[in-house]
Amino acid sequence: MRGVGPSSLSLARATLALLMIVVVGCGQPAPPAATTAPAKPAEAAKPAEPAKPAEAAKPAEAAKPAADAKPAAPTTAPAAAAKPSDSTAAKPATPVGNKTIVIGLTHGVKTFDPGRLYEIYPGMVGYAMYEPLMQFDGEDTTKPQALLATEWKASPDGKTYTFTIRDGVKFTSGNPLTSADFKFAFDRIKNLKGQPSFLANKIASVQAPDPKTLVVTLSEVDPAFLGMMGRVQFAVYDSKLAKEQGAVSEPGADQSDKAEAWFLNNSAGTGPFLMKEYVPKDRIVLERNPNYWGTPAKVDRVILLNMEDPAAQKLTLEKGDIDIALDLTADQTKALDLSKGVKLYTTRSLNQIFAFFNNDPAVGGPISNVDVQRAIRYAIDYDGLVELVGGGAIKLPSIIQLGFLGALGPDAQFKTDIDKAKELMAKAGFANGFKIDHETAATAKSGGVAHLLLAQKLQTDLAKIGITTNIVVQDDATSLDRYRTVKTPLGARGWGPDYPDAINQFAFCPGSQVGLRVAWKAESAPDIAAMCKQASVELDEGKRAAMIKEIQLAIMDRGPYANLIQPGVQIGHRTNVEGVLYNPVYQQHLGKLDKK
Amino acid sequence: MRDYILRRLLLVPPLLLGVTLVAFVLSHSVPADPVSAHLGQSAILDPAIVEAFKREWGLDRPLHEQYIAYLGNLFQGNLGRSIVSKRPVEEDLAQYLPNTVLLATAALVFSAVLGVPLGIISAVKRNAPIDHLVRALALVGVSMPVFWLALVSLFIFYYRLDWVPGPGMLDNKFVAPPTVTRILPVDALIAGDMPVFWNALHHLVLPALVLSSFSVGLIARVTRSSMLEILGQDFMRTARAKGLRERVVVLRHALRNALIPTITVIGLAYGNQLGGAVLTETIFSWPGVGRYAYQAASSLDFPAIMGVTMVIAAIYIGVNLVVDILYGVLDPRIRVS
Repeated sequence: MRGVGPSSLSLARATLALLMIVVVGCGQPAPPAATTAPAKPAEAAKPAEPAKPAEAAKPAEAAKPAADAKPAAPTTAPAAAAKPSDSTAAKPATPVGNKTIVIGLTHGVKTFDPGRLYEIYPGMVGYAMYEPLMQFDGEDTTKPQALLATEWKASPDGKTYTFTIRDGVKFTSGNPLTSADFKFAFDRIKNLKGQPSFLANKIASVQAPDPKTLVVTLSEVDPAFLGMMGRVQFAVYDSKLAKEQGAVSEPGADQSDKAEAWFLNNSAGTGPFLMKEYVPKDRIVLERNPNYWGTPAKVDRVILLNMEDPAAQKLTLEKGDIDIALDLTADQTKALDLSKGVKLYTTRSLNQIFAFFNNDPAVGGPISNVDVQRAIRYAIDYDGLVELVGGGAIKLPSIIQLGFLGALGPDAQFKTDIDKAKELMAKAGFANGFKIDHETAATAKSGGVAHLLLAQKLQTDLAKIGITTNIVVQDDATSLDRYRTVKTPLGARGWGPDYPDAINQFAFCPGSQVGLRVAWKAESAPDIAAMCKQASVELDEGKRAAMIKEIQLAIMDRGPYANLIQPGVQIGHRTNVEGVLYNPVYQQHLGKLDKK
Repeated sequence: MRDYILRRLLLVPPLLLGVTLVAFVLSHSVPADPVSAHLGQSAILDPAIVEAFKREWGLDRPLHEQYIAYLGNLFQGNLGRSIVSKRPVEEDLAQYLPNTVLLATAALVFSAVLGVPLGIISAVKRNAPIDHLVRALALVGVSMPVFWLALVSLFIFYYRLDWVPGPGMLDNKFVAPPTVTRILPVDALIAGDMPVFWNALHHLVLPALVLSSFSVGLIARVTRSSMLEILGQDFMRTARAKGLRERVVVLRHALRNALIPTITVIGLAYGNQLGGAVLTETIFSWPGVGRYAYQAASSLDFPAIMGVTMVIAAIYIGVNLVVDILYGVLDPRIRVS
């Protein structure tokens, strides 16, 4: 056998290149012209060469992150706290240069229409183009602060909020922002009846008495309302332009609104970036809004590349072809080569992983027994789970994740005690254990960990107290459907809050959405259900925190769950990238990223 | 031959109609609810949202009505709107399919150019060391998981050796040329943008090689066994007895006869590469139809499932037709009158 020398390799590579030309020559004929061009070429995009920072104004730093801070009391009337910038009047345009940040992520785009937007990363992209009344600073999710509202006040009964709209703000179209735009957006989100419409369920009416005043009236008191106003779903867009593109805000919008397709390739917001190009499953190119009212984005362009394989994200990050990798798994971050100009940012998420036990004896059998459920909570090896999930994960004792008001924190988690667990099994009449199906989705993951792996871990732990779990692997859609139709006897899933308030976690209360999926009805635990209801409308923070703690302890004792882990978030980025910071509300604030 | 091709072409519409029926029934018989797959944990509890979702996607109508409505749209050239991408399915396919066709065609060329010669050499040098090596390589190619090969090759050739660019179809520093054919290198040529053309070709090499690994092995094995069978026949001895050069004997007399099963395998491999490039597309961030099909199936995106199934079926039918015609070209005895 002959050896292969460098010249042979060069020849081979040249031959391959030649073959490729032949391939192209033999390429298939062009497909029929599409009804509309899906993406326009990036006519303005240029090679990503570092350029001087295009900063026209010094950022007016707002309050530092305050993860443990209490939420702002909505019944008070705060002044214009933490204004992002005062320079809102007739600013000169900042020219767009070539400073580019490239981010690797899994797009997961369904829409960029703020009235329909609900997916995680598209929400991050949306937040860069569209701004709401409020915002959260840094990693904080508890203290909503001013963004497009300069001040707000709540009525004494906590049901009416009056916002003053920031002066001098213009949309990318050049049209000025008025409260009528907010009214249009709020009415539209409600009447579209899309994914996020339920967020507006408590909004009874929206009024714009003058261009600078917005009045929102709620049907019932909602301590989470101000936080909700920081979500991208309640961001504003140019209603005049949107109407021209078929947007409708009146009742019946679910059938008459035609603007969704337009929002996919265009933007009409006030944010630091505008949509330059969207090529589905390939790239999203955002370009700095040259007429942004606040502190301009520090980079001129953000390219979000669809890279669905985390291993590819890791390689390209280390190689320097991307600047930020958002989807690295815990295994990959462990192996990340920090000598290659890469840094790792770690924080906790606001998500959780929990195991659930069906309370209906006809479905759950022995696992519907409250003592069996208690036994399982004592049998689980939580330290092992933290290690398994890795990547900054912490223990989660009950339904409220750390970062929310009243969270118990990881130290309150059950201590593994097999003897006590066996005692409880005996008390329940199952001293010899039992067999049960653990249903799991084939490819689903939470916190970067496959549900199948969680099932295997629980199988090992529960075997110690005589419970034999038979892992039933289902396709993801079937698994989700069975869980939602209360047919799953035992399972483990992930959960992420819909909005940044502890109230959101009351979904785990008896009679609420997660509760009902495990047949835990309100009448099964009326005291806990009543506490949840009361805490949902309590405006006094101190009282609310105390109630929330009580609810958690009650669910730790009697709930059909084992809340397991609060996963971490790990983001790999190049060392010359600054401003990487995770906030569960908007993931990354793209406008604050910088590249040195 | 012309009549034969015409007859085959006339069969395509009823075949595709059958495909729509089978795909519709199968995709709707999955024990899962698309409402559950698409609406979030809180939205699904709101009856108004659920009702609007069902109405928007026609899920509030009986199955037979949904199918009839689908056919009605289909006859007007409308494949419906994808529940996930919210765009017309034909628009999605027009975007993703050319990327996969490019990848699969490049992989097919690699498969044929590498697989057939390896099979010939292996057969001619039967039981020699080169034969053992080729058989071992073919076995490795057939049995190696494509995702593993993709990751390892990306690590070696991109990360370590820097011979090829990273995932994606084009470096970020380049601007895609205006869309004409939707095949990136061709569009680059049309635009006269040679740097983009070369960069696009560089991006194509590794994923195409990885995708071809299975079929290279398969084609080499099939060509070898087919060649061995032919080489042992009487007419080969006759050819040699006539004093023909060994090269002519092997390439003109043996190979031509041995190619029929190989052509069948190449045709099937092309179909597989078009429909089954999911893992390669995922790891190499290649925005192709394989990934689109996978997402459609896993999220019960019925219009997309139907669209992809029909297009892949049409391609299979087309490839089979080409293979049948090639049979006739290779062997006049089976030429259809």
